[in-house]
Amino acid sequence: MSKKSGQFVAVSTGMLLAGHISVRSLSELKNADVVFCLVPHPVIEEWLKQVAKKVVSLQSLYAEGKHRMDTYEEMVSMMMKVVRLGKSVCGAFYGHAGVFAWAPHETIRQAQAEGYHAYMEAGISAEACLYADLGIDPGNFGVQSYEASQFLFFNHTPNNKAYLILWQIGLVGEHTAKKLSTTKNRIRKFVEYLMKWYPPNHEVTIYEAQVLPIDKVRKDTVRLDELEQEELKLISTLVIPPAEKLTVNEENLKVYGITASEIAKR
Amino acid sequence: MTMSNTNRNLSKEGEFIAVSTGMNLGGQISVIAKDYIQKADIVFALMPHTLAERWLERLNPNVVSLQPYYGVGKYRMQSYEEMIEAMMDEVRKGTRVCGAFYGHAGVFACVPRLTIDKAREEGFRAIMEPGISAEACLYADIGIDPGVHGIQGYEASQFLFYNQSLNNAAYAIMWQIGIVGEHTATQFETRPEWVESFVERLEEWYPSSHEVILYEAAVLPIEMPRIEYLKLKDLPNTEMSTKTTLVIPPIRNLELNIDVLEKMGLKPEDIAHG
Repeated sequence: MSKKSGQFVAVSTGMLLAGHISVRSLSELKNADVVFCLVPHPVIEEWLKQVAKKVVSLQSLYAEGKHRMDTYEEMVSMMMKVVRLGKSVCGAFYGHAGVFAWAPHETIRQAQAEGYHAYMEAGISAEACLYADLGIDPGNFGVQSYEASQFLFFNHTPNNKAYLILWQIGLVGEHTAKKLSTTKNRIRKFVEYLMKWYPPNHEVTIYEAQVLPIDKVRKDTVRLDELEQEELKLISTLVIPPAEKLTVNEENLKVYGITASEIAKR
Repeated sequence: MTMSNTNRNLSKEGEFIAVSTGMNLGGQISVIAKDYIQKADIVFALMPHTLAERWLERLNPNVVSLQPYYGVGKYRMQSYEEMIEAMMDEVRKGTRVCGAFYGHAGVFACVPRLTIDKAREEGFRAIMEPGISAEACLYADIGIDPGVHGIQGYEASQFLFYNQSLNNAAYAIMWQIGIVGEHTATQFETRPEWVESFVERLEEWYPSSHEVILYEAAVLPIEMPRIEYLKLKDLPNTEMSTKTTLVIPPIRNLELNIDVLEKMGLKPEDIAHG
């Protein structure tokens, strides 16, 4: 199938500056005509400028009071404009380009619809760092993962026998999508809501991945009912361990003709 | 006792770094993980393919495969313990040991974590470098953003045998669907009747006509990922392997929680999220 010249690759830069990027993503950045970037720190932009031929930051499109969806749409059209010029375009997004990020997915959709070659290079997300830093294996109990405000406002029911990870906890209850912080009152309401499934003294962990080599990984364990006293940032994630033990499903075991003791430890 | 011997006893020189190599051979490893492999004295490898072992040997000539510790009919926990001991023996000699695990070393893998725990317990430096997991590839290849609807991931057999519950308004991912119901931890395949009872359990939340996706990440650069759409009820007749993952899209739309909104003094039209 013949493709138009011009392409878009959504590249994931990982969380840790210059270290987490995959070998293939790095070579995509080096070869691109233009690299648009959305990274959490100016130092990372500087690093990209050393790697790539031309770097344009998407950060300046954000503004307090501007609806985030408008910002995202501007990002997409900015990148598509250059793809249509026949250029090889990279979007460099921190963490995993496809996780909690609308613009990379949408740019790929638009580029493919217009006949351009477009795809995403997977990367090391905050979730991947969390598993490594906290020593949680999602295979052990299962993991549920929600954007905190969505979890709060929409009827998501958690399974308190598995891990629950709530992203963007520092924005929880911020319903306008225009501000980049929340209030203590909203955090309190959020904690009240969680108490439908978890006791007040349940221990939860606030996690922040390392972005710069000088950063320290944050892993603060606090009681659920003390969460509002903690400093929560844009990059903070709430990790809630299971509150109830796994119980064997006797009915399913009968189907297999086995007893609980016959299930091997994994 | 000589001076060098004293030093060796005081500072524990050995170290263990669990490194993730990503799913796709060669390209998905992180810059930092590659560096660890190149600088290690010895690299133990758990790779999905002998080609991947050859690739590691080009980065470091001293590669030992952990694959021979597995065996059909052999209890997997036994294999794991032998792997951990093999790596720890080297760490105790004071060498820089790398464990190279495909995908993410901390995801569906107990050997890297247990080796780190053991090494730290004995006073050695031990860390894990995160990597690109099958889940990360799935998000990139299928185009799913876990932030949009939320996501739940379970090991398929655990889901079947234990009383886990599902939220069918979010994505559900069932790992190791290709060995679902394999309760002895000694075999590497499932049976159609086991898949059938798994489907029956899922029918508590989804109609049998619900469209689901079978996913397999590309492991070699020449491969394409498997992204196969099918009906839930057709799952027992479909070929699956140890690397197959089941992706179940949500069946219902998100609904606002009016109770929560009232408590926060908000109206539905105030909510900008979608």
